[in-house]
Amino acid sequence: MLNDVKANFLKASAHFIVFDQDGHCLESEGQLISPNLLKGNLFENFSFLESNRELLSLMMLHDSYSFPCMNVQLEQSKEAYCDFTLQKVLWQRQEANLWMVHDQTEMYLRIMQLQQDRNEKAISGEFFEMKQRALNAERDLLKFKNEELKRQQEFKTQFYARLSHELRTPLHSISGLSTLLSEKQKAHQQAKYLNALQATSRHLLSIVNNVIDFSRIETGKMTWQAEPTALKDLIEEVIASFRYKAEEKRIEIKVTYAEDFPLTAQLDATKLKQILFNLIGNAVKFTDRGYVLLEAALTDKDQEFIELTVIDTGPGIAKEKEQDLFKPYVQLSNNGHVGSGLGLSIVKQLCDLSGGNITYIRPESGSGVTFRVTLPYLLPEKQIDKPSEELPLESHIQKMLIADDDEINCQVLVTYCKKYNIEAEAVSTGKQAIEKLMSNSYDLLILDYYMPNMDGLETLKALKKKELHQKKPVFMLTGSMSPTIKEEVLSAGVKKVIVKPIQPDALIELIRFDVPTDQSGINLDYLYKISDGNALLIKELIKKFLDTVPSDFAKIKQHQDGKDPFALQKMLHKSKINMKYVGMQGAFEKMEKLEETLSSGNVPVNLKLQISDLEKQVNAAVIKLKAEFKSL
Amino acid sequence: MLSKKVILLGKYGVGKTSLIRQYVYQKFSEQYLTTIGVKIDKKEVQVQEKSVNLLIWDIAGEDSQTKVPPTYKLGAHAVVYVFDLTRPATYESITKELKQISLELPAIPVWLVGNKSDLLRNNEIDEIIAKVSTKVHFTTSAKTADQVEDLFFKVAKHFV
Ligand SMILES: Nc1nc2c(ncn2[C@@H]2O[C@H](COP(=O)(O)OP(=O)(O)OP(=O)(O)O)[C@@H](O)[C@H]2O)c(=O)[nH]1
Ligand SMILES: [Mg+2]
Repeated sequence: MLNDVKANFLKASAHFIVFDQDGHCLESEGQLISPNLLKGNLFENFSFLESNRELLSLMMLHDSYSFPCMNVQLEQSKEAYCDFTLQKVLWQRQEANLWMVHDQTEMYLRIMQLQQDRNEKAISGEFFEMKQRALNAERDLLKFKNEELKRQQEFKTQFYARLSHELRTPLHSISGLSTLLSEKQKAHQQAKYLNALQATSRHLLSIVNNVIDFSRIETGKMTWQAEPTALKDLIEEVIASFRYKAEEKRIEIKVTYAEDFPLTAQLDATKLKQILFNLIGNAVKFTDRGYVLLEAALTDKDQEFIELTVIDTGPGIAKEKEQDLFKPYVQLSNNGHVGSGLGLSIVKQLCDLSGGNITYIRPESGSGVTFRVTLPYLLPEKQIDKPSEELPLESHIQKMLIADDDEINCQVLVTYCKKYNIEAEAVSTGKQAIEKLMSNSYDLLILDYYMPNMDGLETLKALKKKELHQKKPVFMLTGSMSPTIKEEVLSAGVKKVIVKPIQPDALIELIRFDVPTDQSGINLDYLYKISDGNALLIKELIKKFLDTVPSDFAKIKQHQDGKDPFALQKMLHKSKINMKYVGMQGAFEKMEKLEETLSSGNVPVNLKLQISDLEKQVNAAVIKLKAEFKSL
Repeated sequence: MLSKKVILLGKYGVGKTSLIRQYVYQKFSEQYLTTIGVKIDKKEVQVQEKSVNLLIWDIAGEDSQTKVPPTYKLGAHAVVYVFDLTRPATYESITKELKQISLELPAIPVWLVGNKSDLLRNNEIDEIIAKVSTKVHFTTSAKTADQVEDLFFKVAKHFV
């Protein structure tokens, strides 16, 4: 009786099926699976069995595998969760397969609920954790930024303390040296003190410049201004200024140029100089044995950049400091060398400004430091002539006027200009400058921006009103270089703004390069004077020049063989007056002299050369006058 | 006819059930109903004039392969391991998981699938794939059906 109860109970929740290797049901006990499904091929009817056909063929007698929680459809649309067991059994003394099915739906549905809950919580936990991670990253970043700010702040404090020390030291020695100089000294002593004084003030200047530059970079006020630059000369100049120091330290300082390295290029010379001064300065400073080498080359690939590599054999940079190399206010060495901690940071910023970059190259072995700078450059449209080393200066600036209330500065400049055969006069106010210009003509006027009563700009405007020093170059000296002032000054017609204190050498350089040689030699002052400023008349005279002179010269050229000196003389005579109108005094005089020679029946041996020289001048004048004609 | 057991493994909620539902029934639901145990689905695939019967085992996701009953994997012919492209937790320990699988099922092809591609932009997907230490074979979306057919076809083709 109990057996029956047990069997019935089991029937409701379990099913036992015995089947053969081909999937035919041999015996079935239970009510879970509909008899219909058991009639056909079990492998075809049950994916579960089909999946395990291979497994069944491999099982040995009594082998048994259980598959918990199988989701099946036992009847139409009724989902069930059953535990399955597959077992190899003996059935009527033959090997057969037993499939036990145990319906556990109720239990599994409860488990499902719990699992659903667990999974959902776990998944939202993951998202929470992701958020947390993001927050942590954010916090780390903030922390880093904070620390960096704090570090900079701290360094700034230290920096100012050190800076005042740095400034005070040279100032003290300057004041000491000047006291010594004011006393009576032997000449050679004096020269020595003077040298020291110059060196110290240069040093002081460089410190101040660094600080100012840095603050200008920090406030984004600096731009890269490419201009034609004598590149190799610039490099040589920088190297030369470290020669003495290097010799003193008994280290070698050398520079190598790649074959294709350009002699001249368009880039920002001042900033390039600054970059090199910093890098080579550091290299020389830190190297006590060995050498400092500058390799100048172009980038391999496209050659769009110049590549300057500064290599030294100093103690090198500690690995842990590498990442801070270009940060401001970082001191790289503790071995007694002091600096503002701004140098490399400035270099980096200047490189960035140019669109190039700087990289630190870790030495493959041993010590030493290598920095590589790449800077964009353009080849200049016109090659700059290498300035000749010899005096006197071959410039059309022969006479110049300096107006600056700093008398010492004036004196220095005047003396220096004399060395180059430039006659320089100095006055100390704008008013005096105007007075001078009323009675004299100068090729170049240098005005100080800050002068008492009448500043440089006002002086310039007054000169314009009075039509003095017209069309001639003006340089302006200034202590500060606020871009707005600079713009105002340049638009007022100033050719060049020079930051004080001016090095006399640099001024001479400027005179050489920045005042374009006007080959034509035209001077419209005369034209303006004789026409009383009447634009119509000026235009008329210029037109006459343009209409007649080129064709005259075509004819003159036909006679350059000297076979018909009188025809040539006539032509010259007719044409030369035009030269006078446009102020081409030189050309006029040349033509007059040539005319004279020819009229006496003589033909100069260099007639062809003389004519071609004149023609060159005339051609240049035609270009200038055409532009002038348009602007009237 | 060729019958092959293909098992889908991967952590919970990565979209195993959804991939199969999309592939077999062309249906998708936003609702998450976790799978418990196993559900088997069947689909016939034509590969070069041959039919392959894919017996696809949708196995409940666990946070570790060790928790999956070994008999589920017994005799499998291919493994599709699915992870969720939007959940790092589902692919961070993938190397370990795949190692465990290859221990239990040596010499069985494993297809690595990043699912839910519809939730990310292409470049984000690329970034994630780069992070996963093993080659990702498919990036699928059970929602838009993107690459789902391709995935199972590739699995079937491998058997022919
Ligand atoms: N947007 C989007 N959602 C998806 C995709 N695939 C799955 N989902 C969603 O993800 C959730 C989980 O999908 P399931 O298919 O149930 O995931 P599972 O891997 O079977 O999860 P377990 O059974 O718990 O292991 C559901 O809400 C789906 O709607 C997909 O490709 N795109
Ligand atoms: Mg599922």
